[in-house]
Amino acid sequence: MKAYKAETAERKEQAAQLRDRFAREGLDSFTETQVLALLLTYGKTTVDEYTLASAMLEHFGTLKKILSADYEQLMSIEGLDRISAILIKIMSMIPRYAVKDLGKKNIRFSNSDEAGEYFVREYYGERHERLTMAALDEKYRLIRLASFDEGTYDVCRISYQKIADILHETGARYFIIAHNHIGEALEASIYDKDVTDKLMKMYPRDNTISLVEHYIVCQNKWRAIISGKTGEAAENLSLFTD
Amino acid sequence: MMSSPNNGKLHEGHRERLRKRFCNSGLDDFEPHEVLELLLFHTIPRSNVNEHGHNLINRFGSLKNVISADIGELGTVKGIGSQSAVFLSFIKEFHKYIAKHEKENSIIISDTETAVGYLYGIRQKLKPGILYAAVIDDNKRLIKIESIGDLMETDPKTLRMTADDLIYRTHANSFVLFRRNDGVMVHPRHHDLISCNNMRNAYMASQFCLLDYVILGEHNWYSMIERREGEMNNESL
Repeated sequence: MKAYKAETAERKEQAAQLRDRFAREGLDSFTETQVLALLLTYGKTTVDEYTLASAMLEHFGTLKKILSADYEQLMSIEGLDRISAILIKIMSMIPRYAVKDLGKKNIRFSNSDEAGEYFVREYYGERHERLTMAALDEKYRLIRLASFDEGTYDVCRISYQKIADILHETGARYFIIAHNHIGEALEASIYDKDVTDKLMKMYPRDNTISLVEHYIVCQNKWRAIISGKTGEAAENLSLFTD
Repeated sequence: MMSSPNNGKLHEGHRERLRKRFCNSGLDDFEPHEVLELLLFHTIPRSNVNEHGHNLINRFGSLKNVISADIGELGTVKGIGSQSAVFLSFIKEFHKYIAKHEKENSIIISDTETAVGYLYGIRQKLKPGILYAAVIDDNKRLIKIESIGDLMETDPKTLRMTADDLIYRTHANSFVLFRRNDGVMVHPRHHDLISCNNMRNAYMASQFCLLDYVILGEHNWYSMIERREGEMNNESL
């Protein structure tokens, strides 16, 4: 019992030292193990944070891989408690939440730049091609953002029926579709143009429901196929880099 | 107001419900103050942190601004002590650290030449007779190197299972197998042929790709996939 108390006191002291050092100097001089150990001090692990951090890095390879691991993979690490595993998963989702401003309400697109930037954020960190559709009311306020399954855009082709279903369910007046390109190319393919043409014929400008734009997003840039405009949204995407 | 034991249970129930909601559906449907609640559970035990989350959002406007604020500013918000302020400012720094570290440490392995160029730098650290795997992500960045087993003493099935496990847990996209050879000859042995064929066949139809199987001699190397020998000169080294 005494040994347990001494060990706990030692770990508390170690945690306090790590936190103080971070508060004073930042993380520049930290090793990966120390950074992970510092994070683990906010969990409820009953084992030494350094030992656990080393074991996790040995198992997964890098901090980034630890953040990418799923909950079950994390829980398979001996000594890692549930609260710490959940903390790691929360940490992994914070950049996406912060960059996309997920808590923001009453989104309205007053011009193509705003919509372009919105979709750049929507695709932040995406590693697969994905089609999304924004259903808008008569004042271009976002009613619903629907996401079509990952990887379906270029494989299974667009589902016109699903678009019609969403328009019907939401009572939308306007809608925008967007998809991302993986890699560097922002150019519209023949297929992208065909889809746009077909949707414009189905939902023309003077119709009770009309297609506003089709965006292509690649990294932090966007291209609007109908208007031909291009743009870039950089400011907030650099939140986690220098 | 004093916190009674019942209040403690009440808060713990709320915490557990919020965690379960997160585990089931991620953060997408969370309000910013609820995300902060989830975070503050880790620094403020056994009390209601909902108000603290609201205080932070009221003061800074968004989660992004909260985690971008400095420790001193965070500490002036009602209910946010120094421990919580340090933790909230750690979040952004943690991700910046990872981004910087990944960039600095990324070693690109896209083909046999780039693999050999890198592997010669670590050749002296390799144990002769051991088969190693360098696992690579979908951006051709080296993730890590691990030993797969003793080439002579481990059966090919076990070598394959060890490689499987490594690929799975590192989310690798492709890999290079290699071993150090201390003799003059770098031509493959019987065990190399069996292991290479076994791995190549196993991964042929899968999404993972065996880039190469390389034998690293002192000054020359042999690529089993490309069936050719190459030399490492001082310039390349």
